[in-house]
Amino acid sequence: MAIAVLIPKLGMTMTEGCVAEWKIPDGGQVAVGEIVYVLETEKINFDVEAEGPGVVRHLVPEGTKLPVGAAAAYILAPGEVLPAGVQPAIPVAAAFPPVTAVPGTGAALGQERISATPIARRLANERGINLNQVAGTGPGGRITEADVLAAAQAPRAAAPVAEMAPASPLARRLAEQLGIDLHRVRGTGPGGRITKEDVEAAAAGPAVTAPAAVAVSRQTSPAAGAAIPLRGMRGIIAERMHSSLQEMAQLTLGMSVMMDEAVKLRGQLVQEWAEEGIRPSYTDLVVRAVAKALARHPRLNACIAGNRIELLSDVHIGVAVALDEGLLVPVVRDAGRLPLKEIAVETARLAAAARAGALGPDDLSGGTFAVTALGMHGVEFFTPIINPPNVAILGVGVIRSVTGWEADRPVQRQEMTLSLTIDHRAVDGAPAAAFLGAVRDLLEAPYRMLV
Amino acid sequence: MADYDVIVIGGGPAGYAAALAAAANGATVALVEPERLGGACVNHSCIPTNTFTNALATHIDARELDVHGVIEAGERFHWARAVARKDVLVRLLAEGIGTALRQRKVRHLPGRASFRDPATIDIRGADGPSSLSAEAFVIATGARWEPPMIPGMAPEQVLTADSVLALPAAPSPALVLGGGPAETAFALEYAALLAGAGAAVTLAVPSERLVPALDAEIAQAAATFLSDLGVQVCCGWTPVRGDGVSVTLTNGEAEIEARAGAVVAVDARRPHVAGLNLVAAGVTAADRIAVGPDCRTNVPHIFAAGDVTGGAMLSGAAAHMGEVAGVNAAGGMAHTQLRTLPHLLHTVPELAWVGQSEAVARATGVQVRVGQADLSFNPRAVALGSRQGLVKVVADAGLGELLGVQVAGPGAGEIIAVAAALMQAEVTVDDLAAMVAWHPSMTEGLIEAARRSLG
Repeated sequence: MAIAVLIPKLGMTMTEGCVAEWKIPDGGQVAVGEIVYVLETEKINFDVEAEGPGVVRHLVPEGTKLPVGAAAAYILAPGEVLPAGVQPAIPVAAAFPPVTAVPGTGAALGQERISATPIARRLANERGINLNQVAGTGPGGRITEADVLAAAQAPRAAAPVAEMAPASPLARRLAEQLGIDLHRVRGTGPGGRITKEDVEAAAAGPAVTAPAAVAVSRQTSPAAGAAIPLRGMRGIIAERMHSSLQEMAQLTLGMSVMMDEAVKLRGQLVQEWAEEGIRPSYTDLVVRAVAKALARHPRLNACIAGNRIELLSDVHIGVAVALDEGLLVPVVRDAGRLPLKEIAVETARLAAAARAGALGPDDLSGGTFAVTALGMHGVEFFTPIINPPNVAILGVGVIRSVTGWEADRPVQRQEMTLSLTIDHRAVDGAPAAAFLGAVRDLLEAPYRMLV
Repeated sequence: MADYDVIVIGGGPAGYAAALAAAANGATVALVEPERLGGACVNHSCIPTNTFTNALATHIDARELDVHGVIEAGERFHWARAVARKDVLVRLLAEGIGTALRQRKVRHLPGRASFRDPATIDIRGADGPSSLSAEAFVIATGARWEPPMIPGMAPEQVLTADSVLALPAAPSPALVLGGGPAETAFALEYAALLAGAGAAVTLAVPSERLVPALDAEIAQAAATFLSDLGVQVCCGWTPVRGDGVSVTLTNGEAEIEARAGAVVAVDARRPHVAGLNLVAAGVTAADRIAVGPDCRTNVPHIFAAGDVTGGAMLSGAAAHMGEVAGVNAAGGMAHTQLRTLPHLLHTVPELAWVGQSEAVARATGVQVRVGQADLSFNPRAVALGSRQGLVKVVADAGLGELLGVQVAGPGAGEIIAVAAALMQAEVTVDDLAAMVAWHPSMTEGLIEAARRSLG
């Protein structure tokens, strides 16, 4: 499968980037993680890495400016050719293409003239096939009508536009300009159609803002009396948390959990995985319990789209990470399928990346449920605010020693309170309590989380 | 247990749309309306005006039939016959609304409603007083004309839309006043239809531009149309006093005289909240009832829709808001979408717009692309006998978003309907420029303007 090497979006205001230098020559081999090209923006240079191994095929020469989200190159597996229909990326200067393509020239776009019959040219133009990617079988390699028809028959592997969510043309264009994946945008238009407003809302969300936060200078605690502007990350948190409470009917439920077994299990795992440098936290245990419980309580893993509640099939759990200048909610993807150990590895990576300002857009978008912990600060119970478009968030409190009773004998026990906020528009109290009970049961008998 | 799930107060476009929507969503619904169903729209403004403007357009066409090579036609417009036809059509439409309500099992209660408490209304009607409770209410009491006091003019000389079209003949000479709180510009329609009917008409608007929502060139085209019909157009003038046969106008510096046996004030409307006893319901209202996009008032189970909420005060907006209010009163979660509400004035030729003018768009700091197409080169317009017309497209330069379209000329209604649909579907100006149209048609003018905006 051909992998597109895109112009990534590195900041809120970034709309285009320049392919400053190809690190892998056209036709060169690349391994996963190797730098394919150096991206130059107004502010910084950024190394774009290969997401898979293969042969690099450039679509543009060095020094070309491209809009965010455009493909600069493809990485092809051995024997693979460029997907049919892949056009060389259109330079930014021609962002408004001519309305009517002149037959026979549309495919060339400033490239060397390709040998092809007039009928082949017209056909390629009609079908949107790039003649660069068609092998000619005619005299001297000339491309014939049959060659174009064969290329048209070939499966269109250009996956980037496959199964696009229904979206208005304007929403599509804005998403392209902002580098937002429409699959992750919640549609509120007729029939769940994604509107311009939806894309703007997604752009204002943490998904895209986090890379911008990278540019925010690290601040030390401001002195008393100083004014902190509601800008940047602070402004986004202010706006989103306020609109969350404005929009949703939020209700918080508290439930106590006996943590003796979980404390014991974690202690053992910390020792056991110490050599590998993996240190599971209580939040990791909760994430694992939540991911398992959500599979049986899908109402909590949902979003409201227009007049419907959409139950989501994937479980991506956001984990709040506190920073000096605010807060980010990186996402553990497919948490339902990850064993506890991998969750621990992933949350550690996300937390470190968040603090280093090195989270990628993928790390920050698409969460379907969120977990936030204030236990380390001694908080027992609180009322977390839901991160839209989720319908629930679970707060993790401090583990404290309490006195319990075994028959008539007092015993010391470890107890923790979970704070679950739900959007009452989407979920009622009883099913929410059932979900919370399921999380509690898993934490009280944590061996069940290991299987 | 309340008597009804939803009670709607008012039987105009907002009220009956709310009642039908609430009933369609499973609610038991009653609608309180003391007068004939249909509200101002059906009984006094949109529909009566429309039958008249159509009659006028037909009359003008008839006058020019010899030019088309058909026949020679008379010069006289028969006002009394147009009034009779209007009365028949209005009654038909009002009865149609009654039928639609009955089919949805909405109970029509004749009478005037006022709140006793937040859950109960008192109704004073022909059958004596009664009181009813409901889980939710929709207030859709519309607006009332508020004709200006002009010293020296008798009250019966100052006419509003409901009274002018009931007269046995077109008042002449007449002074038509524009402006008004919602700037709906219906004064242009009345100036055109009175002039077309043979009256001597002066149109005075307080603003420097004929229609403040339009860019200068479109407003100028509209002014030219009216001048061609014989209307004396005075922009920036307001009345100060009259003497029964003429009215003195001022622009703040100078004064002029306009001959006027009657003053027609159609845009001077105010939201109608009197008599509702909103205090008892806890609904706050100054000169209008303020609502959010879900049409909810400050009291969660009481909604309001249409002219009574102020704003655009247009029937299309009222019906849309009514539907949203009805859905939400029945427990739904709908919200209004009024950005792409088209405006259409049946002057001769028509004047229409949707979204923002170039001036407004530029004032918001957006980089805009603008394209204009001259309809005097549009083959369909030429075939219709039009000598002039203009389509203007305003788009966001970066995103290609269609921000607004303005049209002056024949077929403006056709063009603006297409433009509004495209804007609602969020189609870009590039897509519009690449659209295929029937030839010859007015829509070609819209596509041409979009192409020109792309340079």
